[in-house]
This record gives sequence, C-alpha cells and structure tokens, in this order.
Amino acid sequence: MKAKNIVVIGVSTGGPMTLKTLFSELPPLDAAFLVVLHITPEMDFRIAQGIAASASMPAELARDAEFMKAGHIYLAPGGYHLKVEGNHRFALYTGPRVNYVQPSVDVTMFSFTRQSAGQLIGVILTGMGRDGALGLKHMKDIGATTIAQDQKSSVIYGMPKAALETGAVDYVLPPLGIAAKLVELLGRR
Amino acid sequence: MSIKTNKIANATLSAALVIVICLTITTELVLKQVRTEETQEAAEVQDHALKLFWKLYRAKGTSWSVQGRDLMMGSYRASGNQEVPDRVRAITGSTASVFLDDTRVATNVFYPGGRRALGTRMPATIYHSVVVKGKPFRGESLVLGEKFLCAYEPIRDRHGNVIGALAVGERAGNYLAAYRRTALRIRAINAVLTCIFILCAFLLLAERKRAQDGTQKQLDFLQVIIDAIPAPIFYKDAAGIYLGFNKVYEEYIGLTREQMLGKSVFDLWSRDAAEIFHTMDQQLFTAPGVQTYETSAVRHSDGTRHSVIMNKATFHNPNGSLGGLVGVMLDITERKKAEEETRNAYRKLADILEFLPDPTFVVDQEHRVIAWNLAIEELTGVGKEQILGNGNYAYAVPFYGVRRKMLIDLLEDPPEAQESWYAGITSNGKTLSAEACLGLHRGERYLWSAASPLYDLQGNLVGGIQTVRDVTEVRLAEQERHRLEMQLKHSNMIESLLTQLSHDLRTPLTPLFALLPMVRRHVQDPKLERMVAMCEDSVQQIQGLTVKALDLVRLSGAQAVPDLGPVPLAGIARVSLHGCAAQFEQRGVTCLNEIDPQLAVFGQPEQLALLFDNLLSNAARYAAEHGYVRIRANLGEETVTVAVHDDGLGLEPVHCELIFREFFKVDAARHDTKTQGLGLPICRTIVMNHQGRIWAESPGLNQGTTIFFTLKAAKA
Amino acid sequence: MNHEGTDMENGVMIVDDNEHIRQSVQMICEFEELNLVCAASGEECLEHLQAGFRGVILMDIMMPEMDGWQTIREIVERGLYSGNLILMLTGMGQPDSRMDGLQEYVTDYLTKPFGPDQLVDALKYYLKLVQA
Repeated sequence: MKAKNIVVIGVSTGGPMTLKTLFSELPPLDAAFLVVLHITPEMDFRIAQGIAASASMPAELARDAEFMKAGHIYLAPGGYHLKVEGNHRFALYTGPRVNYVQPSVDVTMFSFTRQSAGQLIGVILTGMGRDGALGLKHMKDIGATTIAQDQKSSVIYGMPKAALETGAVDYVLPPLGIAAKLVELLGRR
Repeated sequence: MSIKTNKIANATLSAALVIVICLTITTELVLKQVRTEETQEAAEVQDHALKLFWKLYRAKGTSWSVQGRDLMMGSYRASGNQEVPDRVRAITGSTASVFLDDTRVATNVFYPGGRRALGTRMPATIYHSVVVKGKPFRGESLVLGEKFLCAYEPIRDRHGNVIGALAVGERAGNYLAAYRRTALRIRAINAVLTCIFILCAFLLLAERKRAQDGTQKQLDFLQVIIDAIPAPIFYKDAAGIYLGFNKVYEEYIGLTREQMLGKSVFDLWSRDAAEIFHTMDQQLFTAPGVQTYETSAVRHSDGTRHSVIMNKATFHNPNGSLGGLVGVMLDITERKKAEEETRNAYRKLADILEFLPDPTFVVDQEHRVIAWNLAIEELTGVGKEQILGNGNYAYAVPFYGVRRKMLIDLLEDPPEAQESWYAGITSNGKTLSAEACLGLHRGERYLWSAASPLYDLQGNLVGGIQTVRDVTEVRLAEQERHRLEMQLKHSNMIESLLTQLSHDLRTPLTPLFALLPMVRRHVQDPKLERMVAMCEDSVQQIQGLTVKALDLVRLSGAQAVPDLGPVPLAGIARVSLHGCAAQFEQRGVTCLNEIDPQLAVFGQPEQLALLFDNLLSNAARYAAEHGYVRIRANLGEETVTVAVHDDGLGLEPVHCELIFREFFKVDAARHDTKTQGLGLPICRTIVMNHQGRIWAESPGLNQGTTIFFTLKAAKA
Repeated sequence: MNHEGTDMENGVMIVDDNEHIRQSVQMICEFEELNLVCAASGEECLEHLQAGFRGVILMDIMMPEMDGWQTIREIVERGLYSGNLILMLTGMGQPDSRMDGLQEYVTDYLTKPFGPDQLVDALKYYLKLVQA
C-alpha cells in the first residue's frame, strides 16, 4: 500500500510544540507524513510519542527499509540521516553531519525524485540555521508544492527564512494556515 | 728704434771699412817701393861682388879650362880651392860659389854644421839659363834651402864654351831685413787696426742682433698674450691704420693678418660700423685716454650681427707724441640674448602667475609687492594699480584691514614667532602654510595660504611668493559632513541605546508578565483585581512600545535597506490577515483581500509582512464596528499601488500627514492603551526602505480612511 | 536548592542569573505543583545535572562567565544531556550562529517576557515528553 501523496516536514528548534499544533489540526489524510526534526537519539522516541498523542494519525519512528504508508506520521530517528528510496522506502545511514546536524532535512529532501502520480509537499517550519532550504528548492524543482512557516509564528525564523530566500516557496503560512493548506491540497482528489 | 740703430751701425761700419782698405793699400804701395829700392841696392852690391870675384880669378890666369875633373884658371886650380870665394866674402860679405857645369866646386857657403857646401848643384832653371844658354841670371834662388838673392854668370873656356858659372848671393833676409822690419810694423799696425775695427764691427753687429732678437721675443710674447685673450683686440696708429690684432680679431673679421695689416676701418668693416668706429677713434684722439661704448653695428664674419662693448685706450710714442690706440671688443651678444631670454621668461612667468587660478602675490626683498594676480584681485577686490610697488605690509590690508605680518613675512622667523601670528602653521621645507577665516569684501571666507621664499641662482633670497586658496566651500562642506557624521553617530548611538533598552526591558518585564496574571487569578477582592488588571495593561503597553520601538529602530538603521527580491504580495497580506484575525473577529470587522494572487513586487518579505501587520491592525482598530477593511492593489507600469481601506473613523485633512509621525495619535486614539503611535511611522520607514511612497486619504471624520503605498512591480 | 530525589527526577531547572526571573518561575511552578530547581549560573546547572537532575531545563542565554551555549556544550561533552530537554530563555527570537551544531540539543525557545500560561503549557508538554 504505497503512499501516493507524501508530505515532508523539516523542523528544528521549537519543533515539538509547532508539530503538536499542526498535527492536532489535521484530520486523517491520504498521505504519508515524514517529519525530519533535529533531535538526539535519546529523545526521538519520546517526541514521536508526543506527536502521536496529539495527532489524529499514528506516529512512529521511521525504521530502516520500511515502506511509507499513507495516513501515517513518521519521525526521522536521531543519530542517522534518513533517505527515502524510490520515494517510498526508508534508508537510514550514518555519515558526516550536514548543515551541522543529523538527521539533516536537506539529505532527506534531496533523496526524493519526481513522481508521475500523487502529490509531493515540502514544508519548512521553525528552526535555527539553513537546513532544508536547498532541499525544499529541490522538492520544488521536482514538482513539489512548497510551504514555509511565517516569521511571526516561528520560534526561530531561521530555516523558513533561508527557504524563502531560495525563491522556491509557494506559501508562507503560520501552523494553522499550513494545516488548512494541507487539508486543501490533499483533500482535493 | 732698432732701425735707427741699424743705420748708424751700418754707416760707421762702412766708413771704418774704407779707412782700413785705404790704409792697407797705401802702406802696401809704400812697402813695395821700399822693397824695390832695397832689392836694387842688393843687386848693385852683388854686381860689385861678382866683379870682384871675376877680377880675383883673372889675376890667377888668362882663360878657364877643364883639366880632368878640375876647373882651371890658367894653371890655377879653381876647383876645390876656397881662396877666392873666401876673399870675396871677406871683401863683400856675399856668398860666392864656383860651379863646374852644375856642381859647386868652390864656395864659401857652409852647411849649418860648418862644412862647406861643396858638391851641391845649382837649381835646374838657373843651370838651364846660365850654363846651357850662357845667359847671366839675377834673382832669388834657394841655396841649401835658404832664400838668397843671387847673381850667376857663365864661365866660358877660351873657345867660348860655357863650362861652369860664378855665383854670388846675399841672404834675402839680409838685404830685406830693414824692409821687413818696417813692413812688419806697418802691417802689424794695419792688422791691429783691422782687428780692432773688425772686433768693433762684430760687436756692433752682435749687439744689434741681440737687440733685434730681444725686441722680437718681446713682440712675440705680447702677440701670444693677446692671442690668448678671447676678446678681439687690435691696435692702430694715430692715422687709424691697423698695426696688429689677435687671433680672435682675425676670426671676427674673417681676414688674415696679412690682409688686414695697414688697412683702415673702412677696409675692414661695413660702412655703418666703420663710420661709428672712425668717429669714435677721432674723438679719442682728440681727447686721449680711455673710451668705452656699446654698439650693435658689428657684423661677425659668420654673417651674424653682434653687440659689442668697445674699450679703447690711446698710447704714446717715447717722445710723447700720440702713437695710436689699442682696442678690445667685448662681445655681449650672448649676454644680451640671455638677458632677452630672461626678460621673456619673466614675462611668461608673469603671464602664468597672472592667470593662476589661485590668488597669488609676489614680493621682493624689501617686501614690496611686485606681482598681484587676477585671482587675488578678484578675491580681495583690490586692483594691481593700488598695490603694486607698495611695501610696509600693504598686502595685508585687503585681508586683515590693517598692515600686519602675513605668512610671507614669517618665512625667516622661528616657529614660536610664526605661531603667534597664525595658529596651526605647518612647514614643508621652506614652505609655510596656514589657514585663517577672514572677512573679505565677499563675506567671511576660509583662506588657506602657502608662502615660499624665492631665491636667485646663487641662492640669495630675493623675495617671496604667497598663494591663497579660498577653501570656504571645502570647509563648509567639511563642516556639513562633520555635522552629518555627528548626526549619524548620534542616531547610531540612539539606535544602539534603544536596541539595548528594548532588550534590557524584557528582563524586568518578565516577572511582571509572568506574575501579574497569576496574581489577578488569585485575588478575590474585585477592586484589587481591577488594579492588577490595570497593571497588566500597562505592562502590555510597555511591552508593545518596546517591540515597536525596536522594530522602528531596526528598520531605520543603516543595515535596514533590504535586498529586494520578488515577493508574492497577496500571500504576505494573507499571512498578516491570519495574524490579525483575532482583532478583526473581536470587532466583527470583515477583511477583504482583493490582491491579485499573481501580483509580485520587489521587496523584503519580513518587512512587507510587518507593513501589512501594522496597516491591518490599524485598520482593524479604526474600522467601523462590524464594518469592513479592503485591501486592493493596482499594477501600474512599473509600480504597484496598494490601498488599505477602512470604513471607520476617518481623518481630518490636516492629520493625513501627521499620522506618519512618531507617537502621533489622533484625538480618538489618544487614550487607547493598545496602540503606541508607532505603527504608521514603521510603515513609512518600510515603504521608504523600498523606495516607495506612502500617504493617507480621507474624505473626513467618520468617512473612512485609505492608506496608499507604492512598491516596485516584479514580473509575475 | 532542593536535592531530594523527587525533585531531581522529572523536574524543571531554571538557569538564569536574574533572581527575579528565577523566583517568578519558581512561584508559577509552585502554583502548578511542578518540581523546580534553580541555578544562578551555568556552573550550578552542571552541578545539579551531576547530582542527578533529569527533566526540563530553562536556560538563559545571556549570563556572565559561562553563557547558555557554553553550558549546553559542557552538558553534552560531560554526557549529562541524556534524559533532559533544553528550552532557551532569550530576549530575542533571532537566529544565533553560536547555536550551530547544538540544534539537536535545543528543543525550544521561550522568548522573554513570557506569560504564565505560555510557560506552564510548554513545561507541561515537555515534561510529559521527558517522562514518557
């Protein structure tokens, strides 16, 4: 049951609360949600639990070689980079930090390729640094819809700003607006 | 003079020569006569001796014959018999010899050793004459190497054949002795006279030669000297005829010495020059002495006209009469040319100075103004005619109104003295510069000046030059720049102060923020609760001010001018609308975002978001209760004009501009604690950062307000 | 300072050199019955961690001597991070390059001034995560 629609969310500082707000607003949708949060291995499981507690969809840590399923929320585990092979299968690996971080949003986003069916959506939420900016541009280049969090609602307006500066952002929205936009995009069948 | 000496010497010499010759001839004639007489006398003596000789032998016999080898007179053997010759000698003192054929067979002639000279032969010539031809001989002959005056007569036999000869002789010395003595004396006298004369003549000649040599040497030396003088030199006699020149003169004229000697000025010089020289020469001769004059009439052999200074002086003969004149020509053509060049250079310099854009004047050694250029005339309003040639600090009057020292007068002074006249004097080598602010006819001017001493080629101080530059504009610009810099520094300081203040306020605000709501929740007394609520409001107000002030400072700062990129306008407005949704809901205001979603502008997203935040929260605040706010955007050629309209409070026309001022609030909002009066100033700053315009329009109070602003359109 | 075991596990630590802020947080925590440990400096924070504190750390950035970033580096280097979540307290929500490489250890930011509800919501949420 391969997911047709995929939403990749890159987020860092202020991420847990923002994700809580976002997912608590989202009804179950026909898409696989992949969250790349800058996190340590000690905390990743707990964060996933936190998301699961507030979301209407099941949330879990992504496991190596696992296939993405629609209606699931996956959190990239700490201490690894996460790639998605063929746009549907997770691959975890260790390697040098990218943008000072591991997992890196750029690594995950760059692993996606253009797909003929289904939607790709890239989202960059609050966070320090520039991770995800180039990845989001890549997503845009391969046909994804791109969203960045607005300055006012961002705990740290670093990553969304860097993403915006690439000129590859379609929508600039606060978390609630993003939730609405996702419903709008994914609800349209 | 030597010529005269020569003539005298020659005459004397000739006369002496004639005298000597006459004397010699006369004495020789006399001597000859004496000698003839003496000889004749000796001949007579010999004849007498010969006669005696013959007579003595005739007394012995009758005829001469040869018997055997003997000569016989009769029977008297004459040969070898010395009786007769000795007898002759005893009587006459003559030598007497008898010859048989050519051989002396009897004689009284002795060899110096005392032996008779028997056997000797008579000279061949005499033998030939006397024996062969039979003729008697009279004359001189050598006997035993001695000169004798001899007389030979032949001895004939009875047949008349010559068989021998008789001879007598007298030593020549004997009979000519007197003559010889006399002749010797006379000749000696002659010789002495001749010698004396010759000596005298020789001495005379030698002396003359020596004199001639000396004079020549002296003349040669003088010639060398004058030849060595690089100026043309000549001398001529009182008639104006050239007597001599030096080499330079020859070159000058272009003729050789031979060609010029004995010529007059008219032969050597062109007509005009010759006239001048002649006239001047005549003047000099009239009043002998030294004469100097300058003329440009001289034409050099190379064809060029030259200027010369003529120096002439007369000289006199030994007898005091006027001998002639010596002249030296000093060619001053080069000097004249140099002077001309100097004059030209000076004129050029004066021209340059005159048109120098910097006001400049020059003073001489006595500090009199010798140049005052156009620019300084303009600066001071004082013309050249008023100031040139003036000393005694006249040049200070146009600048200071009084006679005083200026920079140009301080060149030689020690630094302390310089400082007493101008503060902040700087010196660079010999050049001094200083600045002063002076009231001139054109008003107060800042003048910068530089003064330098002027030296001639030998390094003597000959004056000074001072240049003045009107630096008023520069100074004013500097002052303005300084003012702006200070302003900038001030505003930077205020900016950092405000930034710091905003940040620092957060710390004390935190307990208020954190605790007041807690207090309010837990107080029971409604009065107290109201008090706490009031405090909360105030804290919110402070917090709002802090945030807005920080925004404004940040947006107005030097780093605030953003990098502009294409921004979708509708999206920005939508985000702001989300942010203000609570405010709109609270008052039941409907907001209509009518911006074309395709429209993009050049802008900085955060600043534009802040712009809409402020405009929309303003509109939400001032729109009519349950009214509406409408956002529109019109795309012009290059700009997008955005209008945010509300249907509320409206503005009096006079407030339309004032509302963009910091902390301005219209009356209705004056006591609104939710607003800080910084929203629209922030909007204005952002629009200005985007090189746009912002303005407000309102038909009047309670008729709504529209805020317009423009942004650059980006291609959709 | 309370070193009792109950406070040391699943508590809240406020690290701030400003006493009023520490006391404000303390008062709010008392009302909400949250265990709170106060540290006036990075050094004190490290001492508490070494003494066994585990929970949510509210870390001020601007502190004399050892600032918030240095303190976090020390925590990581000394292996004291495990079981904790760090929230930064700051006057400005601006990017800070000194945070490069520390993103994974800084879970959230709390911007001063903050209201009691904002603080309590965050603390409760993160405490739940830590406890899970």
